[in-house]
Parts: sequence; structure tokens; C-alpha cells
Amino acid sequence: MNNQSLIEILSKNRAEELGYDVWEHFVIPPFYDRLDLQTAKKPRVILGGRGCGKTMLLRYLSHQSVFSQNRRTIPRDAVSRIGLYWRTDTQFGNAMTGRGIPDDTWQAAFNHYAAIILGIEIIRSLKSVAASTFECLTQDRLDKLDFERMKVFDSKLPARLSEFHQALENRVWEFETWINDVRKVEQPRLLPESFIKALISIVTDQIPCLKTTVFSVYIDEYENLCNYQQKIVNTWLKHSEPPLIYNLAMKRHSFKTMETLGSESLNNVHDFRQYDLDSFTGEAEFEVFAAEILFLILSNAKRLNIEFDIEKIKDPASLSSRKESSYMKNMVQQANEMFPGLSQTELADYIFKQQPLLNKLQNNIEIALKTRNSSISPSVFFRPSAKKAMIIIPALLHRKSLQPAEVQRELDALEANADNKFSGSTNWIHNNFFASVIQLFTPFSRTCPVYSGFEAFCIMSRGNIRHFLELCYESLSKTEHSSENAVLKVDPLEQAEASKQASTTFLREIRGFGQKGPQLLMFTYRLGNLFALAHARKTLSENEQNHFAIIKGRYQLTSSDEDFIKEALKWSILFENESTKDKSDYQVHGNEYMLNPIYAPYFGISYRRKRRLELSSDDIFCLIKGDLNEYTKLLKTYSSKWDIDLSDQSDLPLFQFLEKEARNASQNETVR
Amino acid sequence: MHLRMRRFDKIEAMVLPHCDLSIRGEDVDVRGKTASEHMNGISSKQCKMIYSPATFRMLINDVEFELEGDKLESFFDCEMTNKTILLDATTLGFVEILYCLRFLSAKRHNSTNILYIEPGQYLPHSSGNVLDRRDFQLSEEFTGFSPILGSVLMLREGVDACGVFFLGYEGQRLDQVLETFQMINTKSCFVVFGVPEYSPGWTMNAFANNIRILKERRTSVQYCAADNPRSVFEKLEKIYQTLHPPQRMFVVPLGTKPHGIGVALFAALRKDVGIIYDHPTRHKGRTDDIGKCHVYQLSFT
Repeated sequence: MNNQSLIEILSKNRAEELGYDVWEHFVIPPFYDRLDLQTAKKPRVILGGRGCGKTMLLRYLSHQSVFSQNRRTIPRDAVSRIGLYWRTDTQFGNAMTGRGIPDDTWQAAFNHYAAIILGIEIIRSLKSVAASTFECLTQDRLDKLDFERMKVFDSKLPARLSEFHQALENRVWEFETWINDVRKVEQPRLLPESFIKALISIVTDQIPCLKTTVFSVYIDEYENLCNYQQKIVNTWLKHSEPPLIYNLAMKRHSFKTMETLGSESLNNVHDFRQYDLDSFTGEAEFEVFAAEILFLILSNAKRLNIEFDIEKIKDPASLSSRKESSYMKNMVQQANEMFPGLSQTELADYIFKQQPLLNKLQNNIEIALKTRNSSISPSVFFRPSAKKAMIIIPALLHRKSLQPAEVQRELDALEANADNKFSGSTNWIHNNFFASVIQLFTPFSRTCPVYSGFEAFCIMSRGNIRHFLELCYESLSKTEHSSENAVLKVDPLEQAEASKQASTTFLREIRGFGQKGPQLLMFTYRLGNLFALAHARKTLSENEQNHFAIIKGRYQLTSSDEDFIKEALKWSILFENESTKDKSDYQVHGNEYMLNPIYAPYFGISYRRKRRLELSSDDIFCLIKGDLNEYTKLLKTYSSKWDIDLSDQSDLPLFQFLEKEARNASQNETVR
Repeated sequence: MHLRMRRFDKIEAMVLPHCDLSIRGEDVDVRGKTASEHMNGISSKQCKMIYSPATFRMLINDVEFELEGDKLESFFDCEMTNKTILLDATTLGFVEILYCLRFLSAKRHNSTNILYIEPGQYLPHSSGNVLDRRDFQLSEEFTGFSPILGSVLMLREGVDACGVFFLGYEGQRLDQVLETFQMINTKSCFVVFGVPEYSPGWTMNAFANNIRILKERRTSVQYCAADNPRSVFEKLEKIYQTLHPPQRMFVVPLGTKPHGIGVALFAALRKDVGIIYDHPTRHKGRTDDIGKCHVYQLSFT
């Protein structure tokens, strides 16, 4: 397999590209045992952002994968639960609203839609079981099934399986024709949802090995249903019980309503249990999970040159052994070898070998000393033997709380191995190195190497497998691995470039995030730019700000602003965390919002959750709805507060548009 | 159906016969204004038509018509039957064009002209933040996948449907279609780019903005001239003939307006074909200046 094929395989990072049978591609996630999806008697609601693996999980639980032709042995209890995956056609669902048709007709039509589609899916699931290596059910047995009793619903329904299946398929066409022209085409006989229960009962009564089978319906992308359709599904959920249980998968904040068609609303815990996939995976667990997925893909592509137990990652019973520290350490180590990052020392060495970066560093030290009116010669701070310390010196020199002489004294102490503030308990290097390196790289077109390394990839992906695989894909695309046996290893600098590319790709996608896509993209640009500006502070006293809390301003945030923030959360542009600080009187919410770290390489900001920025409700209004002038004013206010010279465009490439705007404005004035 | 295509390098050179009724949409840029002004001088009656995907209603000269109601049909019948019609595709949206063509084809209308003025240039984002030089602000927002009644196809898991995607500059629109309709099997689909393009180099924008997904999906790539609705019609007809029953076909018009005209013509005549559309709201000032002008002369007899 050549490099091209390898890249092609990695580029398929969405479940839908793998088909319905994902048996070969699925890695049991570390939280699988906490989901109890195979045994639950109540519905489950699975939440998660785009790319977190919801669809993959649902497809794994569905009959196409459980009774996969690729599965050599299927345990006897596999039929205890048969999964039916259903994603409604959004456009078709939207056709079942308004149009001068009474609401109750549309409700009946939606029930009919479910009845025929899930009816077909039940038949298909039986065929999957019969075609698999599972021995208790054969095609012959299926052919003997008698559906005579289903005539209660429609006397034209045939009694034999293949004809019954075909009759349901015909009803899809008939229904579609009516939906296209509800005024002129005769309304078909609409089947109720109880049709599905009756069908299950007929099947389980006649096939002994399915007697206690529970059919689990997994409704994906629940958020795409319109209000009344959600109410209907909520009603099914509320009344779910074996042998038919409905489960939902959706993005966060997707319940338009908790109402049912009855008087009682849907109640979390009482009626269903909710699982947020994003909250399940801890950082360490995600690293192992991501490594395993990567290795499985490479192994399927026959490009894995390390020892890797595929059976283990496919077996739910092996979950605990996958959580043993030696296993976890080994997985992460192997992935690190494929995508090595640079340590602080290696980063410092790299900077010192790059003349333009070194020149910039020296220049920054000179400027800092000049700003502080210091008589100390810049050369005093040029310490090639203390590279890491030297990289953070411009920030320290800019701090008014520190005298340049003190910085010099501490540097001398560091070099002399005496107690000093660069290391030890104060540890200036630890606190400022990362931000200083990012700042040093900002004016240059080359991407900062802090965005490289398997561990950085995992943090930037933040539980999103699609983002992780895209980072790997972009990285491997940059390296030539001509032979099959070549060790896969990508240079950190190439990885960093790949990160920027992936970041740009994902940023561009925002415009397509639902109806508010263009507005969300503008908000992301603005917020990202504001964080980039915060990273340009010369003192780096509040460094690595990439999340925010909202404090009270003059403007009162409206419900539409709240909805907008929810939309940003729904699409995982922002992540919500409880405040790390006590909620102060002037803070609007107790929560903090972090910009998705996958966008960090594009904006040249930190992807680590370190410090927050307090934004007033006025600032938030400006980021969401302000015009370009208001936003420009906001940037100028902050640049002045943070003592940043916005006119120095060579140092702040992201802000070149401000200069362009100013030029346009002055030209307009001249014309007038 | 007979389609004659004429192209004029300058609007001054364009010859359009007088018509009984001209139909236009909202003008959002220079070429839209130019088209509207031009039409005013050569039509006895003008009407402005705007479709609302949220309500399935058509706003015609500020009067709302239910799409499926008798009143709209009566209006079309009264205003269009046996009249000479001029549709301004520069300003009309895809859905409005489709509904007009559906009516005209049903009535076997034989004297329709469609005017289309190419943009002189597309304008980059005014917000200043440009992901790259191929990033243009063409749409303000997307209403979402509201069905186009009469062309609704039920897509579902495991049932093969052949899709034809006409692609333009906005790569996120294709991404959104594939994200929303994950039951689409792209192995059975085609993507079509506008080649030759309006202006040298423009197709590169469309290629570059869609390349990521095309690389992922390995979908078959086809070409139709950006300004040629007939070539679109023929391409679709050819694909339609290769379908294996019960395989169905749907079209996703995200490309140039002449491509949209070709798709609308095809969908007007092939009622079993579905359309997936995201109903973008066009950004005001999305293009500048005017390019070549086209007149497509249609007859359904």
C-alpha cells in the first residue's frame, strides 16, 4: 500500500463513509461499560458534539454490525437486543408541516413514516441475523413467518415475508407521492406506531430464539426533527418498554421541547437516562482511545509496524485490561513515536538555530529594555547557555513589577545553579515559556511547533475523533512514506503546518453549521482574534487566555444572545465549564466558555485551558451582533488596555484588516 | 423542449424582444440592478417573485400565494398562458425559476426567454478575516433543507439513490448536505463543476473550496460549461437513463445560476427526481460589475 492509499484511508474519518456495518472499524470506547446500552430497560439519550462518535456507536449497536458478515463468531446472547438505526430525512420531515393540512393529519403521517421505515428495518434485521454466523435463525425459518395478523392494520398486507417486505417498500413510494402533492393525491392509509409493536410481537411469537429479544431503536440527529415530531418521539420515549425501546442521539441543547402528546412532559432520569459522550472521556483515556483508533485504521491498511492486539480493542470484556497503566503507557508511547512533539528544551534549541527567530528574540529584548528606559545592555541577556530562560526574558522585562536588574540577577543565579525565580517555586520558565514561544512565532508565516505532537493533537481534538484523525491525516499527507515497511513518523514542523491546515479546514466548516452558520463563523473569527490580541500582550502577565466568563455590562443579554451561545455550544465552537473561580457578583453566568482548541493553530493561540478573559455583556453583544466598526473599536479598546500597538502589522498578521479598513475609511473621507 | 442559447459580451449588444410579462427577484448587486433596469424597458408588465421556504409561500408583487393553492395556479394561468415571458435568472432564486418552468412546461408554453448576467467579479469577505483568497461572502444565511414540494424524495438508510451535485464556490454547502443526509452513498453520486468557467481561473475557486470532501469521497467528477443550462440538462438526462430501478435520482444545485436553470428544467420535466436545496439568503453586494449576458430562449412545444 503506498502513501496515497494510506492517506485515503485516514481521510475517511466520518462514520457515514464506512457504511452501516462498522464491525471492522469500531474500537470499544473506554466509557462503553458505563453506557449499559445492551441491558438498559429504559431509553438512553446520547449527547455529543459533531465528530465525537455518536453515529459510529449507534451503527456499532445496530444489527448490520452486530450480525456482521465479518464477524466470525456471534455469541448466543447477541439476539437479546437487536438495534435498529434510524436517521430521518430532514427535508422529508420538513415537508410534513403546515401546507394547509391539519396538525393531527401530520402527526398521523409522521407515525406512518416511522411505522413503514422501522417495519422495513425490523425485516432487514431478521435477514441480517439469518445471514450471519448466528445459528439459531435461518432464512428458511424466516420464510415460514406468517404475517397474516398484520392485516388488521391494512387488509392488503401480504402474509409472507418477502411480499410483506415489498409491500412496505411500496408504501414508501405511495407515501412519498402523497407528500409531494397532498392536495391532489389521495391520502394513503396511515399506519399507527403500534404497527411496529405488533410486528415485533408477531416475529417474537413465532421465532423461539427471539422470544425475549428487545428491539432498540436508535434515532440519530434528533435535533433535525421539528417541534411536533419531537413531541411524538418524546411520547414514544416515555412509553418505551421491552420489547421496543427508543433511544436518541443528538447534539447538546437539541431538545426543542420536552413535551409529549399527553399531559406529562418527558423527565430526565424518570423516563430516560442521559449520557454526554464528551464528558465521559478523560484526557488520559482519550489519548489511549485515539491511539487505538489510529492503530486499528493503520492495521486495516496493513501499515502498522507495531504489536497491536485488535481482538482486545473489539472486546467489551477487555475494557479493564485496556485501562491498565502499562497498556495505556505503551499505546501513548507508540503514538508519540509516530507523531513526536518537541520538548521545551528541543523547542528552545530549534529557535536558537533559526536566525530570523533568534534575531526577533534579540530585537524583542532590545525593545523591552528601551521601553523600560534601562541602561543595561541587551547583550547581558543573550545567554545561549540558558535558552529557555532567554526566550521568556522579553515578557519579564516588560513587566513593571520587575526591574531589569532583578531579571539579570535571577538569570545569573540560574546560570550559576543557585536558587532563582526562573526555576524553583516561582518557575518563570514553566509559567511563561509556552506563551512566549507562541508570541515569538506570531509574525512569521511558519507555524509554531507547539501545535505538534500526539499529545497536543489529543488536547486540540478534545474528544473529537474526527478532528484527531484529520490532524493525523494532514500530517501524514505532508510526509512521504513510500514503502510499506517504512516507519511512520512525521516531523514536528510538518505536523505543526498540518495542524494549521486542519484548523483552517474546520474553521471554514463553521459557515455550514445550521442556519446561523455565517454568524457563528463571524463570532468565532472575532473571539479568536480577541484571544490572539490577548496573546500579543508584551508582559504576558495573563498569558494563554483562550476562554472567557461573561460579566455584567450596560447591555442586558437577551434570550436571543443566550440562544446564540447555546448554538455555539451545540456545534462545539465553544465548550462550557463551570467557573474555576467563585462566581462574583458581577459575573452573569457561573460558567466559562472555551473556544474549541482545534481553532487554536489558526489564530496562533494556546490550546491549553489556562487563563480566562472576563468579557462584559457589551463585549459579547459586539462579538455576536456588532458591526465591523464596533468590533474594530472593541479591539482598539483592548489593545490600548493591554498596551499593544495595533499599527505594528508585521507583528500581528491577523489584524491587517484593521489597517485596510482604516485606509478605506480615509479614502472614503477624501472622496466626500 | 427546445432551448436556444445566445451570449453577448456587453449588455448594450444584447437584443431582447418585447415581452408581456417579466418576472424578477430581489436585486442584491450591480448586475441585478442592471438586469432589472433593462427589463423595465422591454416588458408590458413586471412582477417581483420571492419564495419563502419557511412557509411554502410565494410572494408576488407583495401578495402572498400558497404554493399548493389554486390561487397561485390561477395567477400563473392568467398572467402567463399565451403570453411572452421573460424570467430574470440574475435575480430570481432557484426555486422561483423551477416553479415558473414547471408551470410553463405543463402548459407547453413556447415563448419564454431567460436572462442571465454574469458577475464582473466576486467580492471577498468584507469582515476582513479571510481564510484564504478563495473565500467569498456569497450567502448571508441558510434557511436549511426545506423541501421543494413536487420534488421531494425520501432518502433512507441502505437504499441506493444516485445524486448529482452541481458545485460552486461555497464548499461548506456540500459539506452540510452530506452531514445532514448521511444516508447518501457518495459512491453512487456525481459532482459537476462549471468548466469552462465564466472567467479564467474561477473554477479553481470551486475546486479548491470543495477539494477536501471530494478527496474523502472519491466521487466521480463531471463538467458542464458554467453558462450552459443545455449541457446540464443533457448531462442529467444521460445519468437518468443509466439508473437501475428501483434506484432513484436527486439533484443538488449549488453551482452557477445557468446550472440551476438546467436543473430546474430537468426537474420540471422529470417529476420522479428529487431536489435537495439549502435556500441561501444571498449576501447584499456579493458581486461587483457585470460580465457577459445570456439569453436562453425556451419552448416546451
